[in-house]
Amino acid sequence: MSDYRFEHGEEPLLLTLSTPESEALIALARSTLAVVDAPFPVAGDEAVRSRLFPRAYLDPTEDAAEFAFQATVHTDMAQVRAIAITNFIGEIESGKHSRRGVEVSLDVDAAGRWIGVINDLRLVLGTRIGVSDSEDDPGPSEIVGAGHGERPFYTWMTYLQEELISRLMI
Amino acid sequence: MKSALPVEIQEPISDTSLDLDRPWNVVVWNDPVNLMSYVVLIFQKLFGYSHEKATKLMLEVHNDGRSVVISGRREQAEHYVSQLHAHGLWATTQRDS
Repeated sequence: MSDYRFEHGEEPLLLTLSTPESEALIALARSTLAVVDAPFPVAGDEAVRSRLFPRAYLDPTEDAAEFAFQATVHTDMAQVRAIAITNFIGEIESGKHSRRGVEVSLDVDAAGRWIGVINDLRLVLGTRIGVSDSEDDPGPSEIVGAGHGERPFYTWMTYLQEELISRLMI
Repeated sequence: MKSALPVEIQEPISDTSLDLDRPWNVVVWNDPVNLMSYVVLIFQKLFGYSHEKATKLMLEVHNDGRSVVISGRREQAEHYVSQLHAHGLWATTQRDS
């Protein structure tokens, strides 16, 4: 089963990440940051970049509008993403460390930001490992936590994001 | 020299006025990564939709592969598309057919 756990009770939400989980999240966040910050697509990560910054127009006759759209929004969007990811890394690194791992305190705003960043991380890893609609959900019993390969880590992040969303929407 | 006689120019038949009347649709496409609950959350956050309406649109995306989630002027559509992209959703805009 997944190692992360939430403390029951009122806000703020206390999330405890095991050391492998926190390290895997930080590594993927840094990797995502490199994609977001790069002025041009990095070889091998074109699909990831396209997924984070997709086209607005599918119609090729609208290429001029597409160019104008990207020129207008890309820099700001990349900057906002980079700040959110950097803060995410900082919140994990500055969490309370113990034998159980890292304890992170999340208020409602922070939980909302984490949901967005984890979604970006899932987009990046999901694109890299080729996640498709046809895959069955392995279910929580097959989740072994971070540090055991990319696909279990991806699934683990899925459950973490789902849990954060469910708690935010209560 | 070429003569400067006036030439009658035929105006092209244009449906520009009709084009301008047609709104731009914002289309959200199905995606294997984004969670259904997340998509509902984002539709509510960005468009102020009720949970019921956001869920209905999310299910259209999930079952039909795409859904028109909002329409408007081109600038508005681009704004919404950029917001959806910022939240990781795969969205495009196209003129209403």
